[in-house]
Amino acid sequence: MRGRKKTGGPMDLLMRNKAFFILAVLVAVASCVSPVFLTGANLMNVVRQVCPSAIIGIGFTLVVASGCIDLSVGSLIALVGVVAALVSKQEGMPLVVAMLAAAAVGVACELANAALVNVFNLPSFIVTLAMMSVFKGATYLITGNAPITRIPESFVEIGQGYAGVVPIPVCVMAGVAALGYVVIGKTVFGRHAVAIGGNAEAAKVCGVDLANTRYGVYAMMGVCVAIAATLLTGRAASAQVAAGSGMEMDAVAAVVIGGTPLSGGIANVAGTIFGCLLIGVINNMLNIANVNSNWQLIAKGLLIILAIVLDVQSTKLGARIAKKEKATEGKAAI
Amino acid sequence: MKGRHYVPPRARDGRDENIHIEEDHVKKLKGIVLCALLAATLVPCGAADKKSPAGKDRLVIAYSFHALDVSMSAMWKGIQAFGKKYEADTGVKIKFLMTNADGSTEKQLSDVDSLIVQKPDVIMIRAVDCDGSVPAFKACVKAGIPCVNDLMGANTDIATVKFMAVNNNYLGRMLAIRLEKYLDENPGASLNIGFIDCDPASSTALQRGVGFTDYLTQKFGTKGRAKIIARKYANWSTTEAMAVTEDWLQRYPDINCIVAANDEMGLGAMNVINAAGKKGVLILGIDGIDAARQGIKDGSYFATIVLDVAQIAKYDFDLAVSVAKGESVEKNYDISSKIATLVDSSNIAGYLK
Repeated sequence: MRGRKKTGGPMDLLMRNKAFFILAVLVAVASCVSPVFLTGANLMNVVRQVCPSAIIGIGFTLVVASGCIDLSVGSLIALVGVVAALVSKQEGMPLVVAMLAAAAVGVACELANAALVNVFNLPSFIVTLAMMSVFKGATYLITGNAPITRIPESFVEIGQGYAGVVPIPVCVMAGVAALGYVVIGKTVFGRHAVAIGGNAEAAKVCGVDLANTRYGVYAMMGVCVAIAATLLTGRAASAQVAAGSGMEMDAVAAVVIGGTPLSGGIANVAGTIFGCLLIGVINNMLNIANVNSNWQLIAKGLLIILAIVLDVQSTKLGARIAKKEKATEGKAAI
Repeated sequence: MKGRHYVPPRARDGRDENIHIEEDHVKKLKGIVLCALLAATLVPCGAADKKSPAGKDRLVIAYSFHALDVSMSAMWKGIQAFGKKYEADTGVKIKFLMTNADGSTEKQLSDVDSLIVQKPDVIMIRAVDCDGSVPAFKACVKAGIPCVNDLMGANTDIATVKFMAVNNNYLGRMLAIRLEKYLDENPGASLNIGFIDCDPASSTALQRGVGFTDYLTQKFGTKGRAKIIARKYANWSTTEAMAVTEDWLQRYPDINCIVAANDEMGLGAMNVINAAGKKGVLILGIDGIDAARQGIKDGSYFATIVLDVAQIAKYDFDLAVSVAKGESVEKNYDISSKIATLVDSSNIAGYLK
């Protein structure tokens, strides 16, 4: 889903998978920092912990690639989790109905975001910032500020259970990632969404329906929110009123690190997954290195900046090298 | 020199200037990578210690804090000091591991996962949420690591010990009892109370408001001599509490008592009341911070609850050591009535530093 032509070669491989290589460097550093890092249990912890943010990141990738943003995801996760928990507690209610209710609420709320952007031509930043407050207030009203507890065991199993030796959240994340990759990169809808992010006017002139595509983008975000909320609720065995708080910031960081620019026009799903893993590894490394928690916040911010700087510098270098190769080929042709 | 439209001259040695610019980029990249590696080696070396099985000469005690506010930070320092003293007295090395969930249940679950892989002898878990943090205890039990339900009263009995030193419901009740005493001493008085609550997501700390409200309602009903006419969250923040109090003074001119879930918010209310020149407003809070004690001495703050943080730290550390060593301990260990003291103008002299 990248705008440049494939040129092949190791440098091109590096440029197209920067997040992966940055992650590899960080894993090497983390394993030097603590011998506990590379243990199977710890690595599985890291992967399991990033599952909700990775799922959010996949939806976020398409939102950002289409030139929009969604700052309400954190609050919406809490709201959707609460709805799912309340529905699941009704006597005789199948779990799948609760999950569908969660999806319906997630999609409906995100469609509301999209409607405000489309109908009133408002910046998505402002709309979703305001809706963040609306969703948070709705959560507090519904719950009376108390978490929803004693959810069915089957619900808890989704967040804490295993399929063989693999945690269920990891399986869910893998499935969502695969589906996201196909939808974003291999469908007309996905390509239209990315085209809008690249140049909305040009896309419109080419016949892309901007409004409906945006509805689709935000609806997909709503589905991702519902899945992430289900996993978080299961993991905590309760629907917390502050669940997902701050997750939008991690999602932005993961998407940017993964190679999807905030200006839109490019979508890199695999990069986002690696970006989420990168943030998860940073959090884990700082924890098991027993870094003071106040320093952890500073270190995490600086490491993310470092990763983005590496990404930007390597992109510039790649562009220079590609330009040089093109000039060389041009001279050779003459 | 770099620039979009500048065409660099060929260098004197005949090499293409573009190559110099690429070399600069490569050097910059190398520099950044080297800086990253160097920074990583400067990370405090809790991990530099080789992990060795804890025998009689070493205990690894892990703490998962729900948040690190003023009193928790003071408690943590106290625990570390007791650790050093224990090492000096017994020769047993104490290694502490500590994480701070910063008010997030999800982070606490991840924090405890990170602590478990380091195989401590005990994990002291101060729950962010009574129910949301329960999976952390389950993870410890599954990993075979003793855990203590430390201070915050999570709703689980699977921990090795439940240690209660701060019963939030009881603290709220203490404030209500003090107001009841005030009304007994002033038979003609009545109280219109504004309650400034903490943060809606802290189900454990919200118990302060529950304890306060339940006691008052039980004693006076909802329309009696003491009634709560307003209630709002201020998220532990002095600034937010000030805004809340300013609004209340406009909306409820007859408000004459403000109770805050902690002193930092209580002080916000006090600042506004003093600035407005309004007399006769009782302000109460919890924690016993210095500014509150000074306010009691000055007469602008009515009462606070002082928690003997040093005592809590001592009991907490001793319990951690006992559990880490595998000694037999009581399943429920409650010192909450021993460490909380209501301080007002009658006994403030003993609490001024």
